[in-house]
Amino acid sequence: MLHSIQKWGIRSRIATATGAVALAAAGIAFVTIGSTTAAAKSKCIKLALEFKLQGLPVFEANQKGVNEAAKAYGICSPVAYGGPATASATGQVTDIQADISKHVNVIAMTSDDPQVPAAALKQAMKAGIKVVTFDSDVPSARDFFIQDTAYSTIAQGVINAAVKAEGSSAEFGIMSSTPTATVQLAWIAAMQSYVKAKYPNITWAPIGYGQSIVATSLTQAEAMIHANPNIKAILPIDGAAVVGTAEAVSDLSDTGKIGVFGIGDPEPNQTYFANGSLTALELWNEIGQGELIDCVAYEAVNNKIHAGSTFKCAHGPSGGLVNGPAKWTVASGTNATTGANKNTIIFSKPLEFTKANYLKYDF
Amino acid sequence: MFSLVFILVVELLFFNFAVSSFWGGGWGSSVSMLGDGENFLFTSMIALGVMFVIFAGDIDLSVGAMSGFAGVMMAEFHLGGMNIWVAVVLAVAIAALIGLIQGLIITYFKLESLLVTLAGWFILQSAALAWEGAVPPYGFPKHFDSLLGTGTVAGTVPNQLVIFAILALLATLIVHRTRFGRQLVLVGHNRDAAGYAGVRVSVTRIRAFVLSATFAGIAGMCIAATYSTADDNLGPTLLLPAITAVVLGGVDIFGGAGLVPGVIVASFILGWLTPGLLQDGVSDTWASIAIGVLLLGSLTVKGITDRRQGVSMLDRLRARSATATPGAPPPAPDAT
Amino acid sequence: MTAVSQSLGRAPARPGTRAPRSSALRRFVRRRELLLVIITVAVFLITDAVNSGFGTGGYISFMLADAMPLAILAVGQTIVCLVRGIDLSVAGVLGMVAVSTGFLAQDHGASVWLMLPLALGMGIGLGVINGLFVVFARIPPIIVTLGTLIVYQGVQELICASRAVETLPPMYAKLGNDNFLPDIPYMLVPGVLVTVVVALILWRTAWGRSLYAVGSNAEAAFRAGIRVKWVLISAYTVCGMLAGLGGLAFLVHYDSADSQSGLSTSINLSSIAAALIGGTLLTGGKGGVVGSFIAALFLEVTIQAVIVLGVPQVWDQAAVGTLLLAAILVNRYQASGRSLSQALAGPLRSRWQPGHGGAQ
Repeated sequence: MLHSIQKWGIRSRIATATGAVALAAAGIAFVTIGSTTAAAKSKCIKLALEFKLQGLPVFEANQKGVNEAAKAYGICSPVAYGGPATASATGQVTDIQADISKHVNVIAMTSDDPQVPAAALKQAMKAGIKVVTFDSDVPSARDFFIQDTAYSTIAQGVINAAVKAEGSSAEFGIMSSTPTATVQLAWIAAMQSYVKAKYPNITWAPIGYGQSIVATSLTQAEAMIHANPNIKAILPIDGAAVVGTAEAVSDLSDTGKIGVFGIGDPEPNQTYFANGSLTALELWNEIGQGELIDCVAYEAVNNKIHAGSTFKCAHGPSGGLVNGPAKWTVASGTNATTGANKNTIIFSKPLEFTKANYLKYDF
Repeated sequence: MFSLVFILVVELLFFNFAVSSFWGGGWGSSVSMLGDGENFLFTSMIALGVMFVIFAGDIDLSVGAMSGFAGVMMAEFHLGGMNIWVAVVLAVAIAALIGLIQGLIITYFKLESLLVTLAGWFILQSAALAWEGAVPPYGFPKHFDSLLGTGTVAGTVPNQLVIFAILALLATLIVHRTRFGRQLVLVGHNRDAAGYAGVRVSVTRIRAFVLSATFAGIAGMCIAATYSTADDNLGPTLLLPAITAVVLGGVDIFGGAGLVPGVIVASFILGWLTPGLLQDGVSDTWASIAIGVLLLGSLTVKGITDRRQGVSMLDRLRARSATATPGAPPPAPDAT
Repeated sequence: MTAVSQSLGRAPARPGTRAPRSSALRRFVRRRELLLVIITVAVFLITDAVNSGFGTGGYISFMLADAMPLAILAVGQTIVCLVRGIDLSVAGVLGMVAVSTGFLAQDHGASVWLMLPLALGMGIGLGVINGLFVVFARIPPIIVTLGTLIVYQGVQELICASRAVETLPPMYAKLGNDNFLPDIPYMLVPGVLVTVVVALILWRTAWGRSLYAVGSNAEAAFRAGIRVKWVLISAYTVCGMLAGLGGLAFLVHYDSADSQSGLSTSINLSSIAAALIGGTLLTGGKGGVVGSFIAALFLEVTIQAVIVLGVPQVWDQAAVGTLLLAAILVNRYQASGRSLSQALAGPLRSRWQPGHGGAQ
């Protein structure tokens, strides 16, 4: 090593030393500024949001709800949009560990994988941080889980919309995200059992997987349409799948021949509602869900709720919780119909978006 | 090499001052600098493995998928009733076997290693996905999780660090102290000259692929232990970071030059960079941009210092030519 | 004599022989591409026999359109491979251009024709950066483009800033998916145009020939008076430009763009695979864009066939990987000019033949 230094001129050595000192000084400056702002904020509840990945409009809507209601629950705002650059559970683990070291009070997260973040979340809980999962759960490592809707209810909503348009003895196909995505699997199971019970003449084409990517969903949807010439309805159950499927149907000019009924948010799909390739979407009010996250976080941090208890939430400015129940319930055990298990809070009945109302929502 | 250590020291200093909890609440606390290793040490293991192949002038794109596949394989064996340690040994052995097969295909049919290992990546990831089913296997015995994943020696030194240290030492010895290691580097430097000098080129290359697959398999075991689950997705994302570590560490991507300790230091630089930046409040996006800038910046500096040491553009291009002109002496190796 | 004839980069030349004439070169090249066409058509016909929905006009038109972004990228990749380089940043350029032009279209109603020069310009700028790093910072291309890929994808995310391109003026979807002749999509035009133009440039112009020369033997090219640095920089610039065009093509075809565009569709590796399957060598000096174009179509048909044939989707990737292997195996035999039985005899037979080293 010394040999290498000796090869450098004196100027290089000085430059390097200056650089090192400058960097260290910058670091010290960072930490001083950081600690003063931290001290000022220590009175409010520090909430860390962790989404599946960066840049998804549905999660943006969640974040909006969280921020709008933050003041009402004494949560430090603004709350940042946390999430990895790609839909990677291991990326989320790194983010969680960063949150732990920042000594947050609550982590609210929708997970890319039901298992991978469990170890990190358990570390968080051991460190006294409350863990609230929503949308996509990590069942073995959280204090509370906000389930979007009762799985059976949303499944029925989709199927009923499809049957209404295409009849009860047609061929349907499902376009999902990945083969292991938990909430999609739950919806698929609910849809299939509902169909078996109520519309036994419906046949299923093989499930397609769009990998949560629009381009792949498009390709898969086109293939599905061509591989199953009698298909009458496609049910995309993930944001990218909806866009890809609707695009495929309008590309192939099959609008009218094949109906698209899915689970997703209306705003990215305005073109498809307008041109008729997309008939109906079921979802829930994402902004309202954000407000509920605040509420549950507040209740959890103050140790006010547990399995079996009920609680009330204030209404935020967007009125996202207006259609919710007067009192929210924390499930005490497993419920086969809704799909809930212990410490689950079911958010809402599904909202249906159709050509009639899709412009009313900005998520 | 010195420059790499320098960068590492600067980075640690910066985080030490900038991030209040970088060293954690005392040694051994779960979220501390050493604890961060849980998230990147297996990438470093993969980097060590693929380094062998790169030394020989090839590339192995399947290492990421190989880790994931090995993890799933081990988990499924275990779920089927096999003792977990037997499953581990079996999974790593099968990984080595797959590496052998890839090496054979590449050398026997004289195909581009990039393409064959690309195909290998696709096939392995698919196989893992198919094998794991709708609910990927999870829930391993606590002692497994602890020993290969999140446990520590005497409460401070992570087990994975010990495992990595052993692998790193092995790799350094293999490359810099054995005849195989010298042959490996020679094959990468000038395949024809190695052949003329009596080195069994194909055998050497195949051995490199076996090594890379084995390291990837071991990394896959550590990944499964850390997250207590095995999944087809857990591996492939580590490929680019692993290759970045190898290249940042000064190994020539065309083969034939580099130091193993360089790769080790580089993998630590990269490994601590992301968690450190995140803890400092930097967003994921800027953290990944920082990695790209670091890579380009450090190699630019290296490239400029090369010029000062008299290795001209032409020399480098000449050294790259596939065919050695008969009768001409082989070009001088690049200074690291 | 040997160095000069080698710089033309086609059949290996032995001392004492003359370089093959260009028409023979052309014939040699066409043989390889023909085989690829035959394989593609074979896959198509087999799938059509199993599932007649495959052969319908609408589907063919879709597949042609779908393959074009990849084809354009593959042509760019070929140019860089010819000079013994590689460009991993094409996905990043594609993504950046797609979201930039996409937001302009979505927020301000910009027309496609206005976005075209912007896309090309951005591509040129981003490509030049690669070229400068390769030439002046002396960093191997695979690393430079790996670094720029990471940076470009990060910038793509910053541009998106939690939004996505979702609603575009109808002209975009029309160009991206409609046909202007029965079963011939608009999208085919830029793809074919790019391939033909670049092929002509490679065959007919001095710049094109200098690419082959530099890739084949840079030192010889330098001593023959070719400005190697300029050739290298221009190669990466052109590749970047084509990646930019590919980004615009991506935008109109998918009618959307977001922070993930280009990232996860493995278009990066597919563009390299297409170039290599098409007969271009990573070691430089050999190859052609026509092969890359056909290879892009081959990949597209294969991916679709695998789905339509009912292969359970979890095996999709494996099927593509296997077909990839098969294709390069066949390509290898064809390129080495040996018969199947000769090839199976193993590596020993050809090992000591002079002049064959370059084929690695």
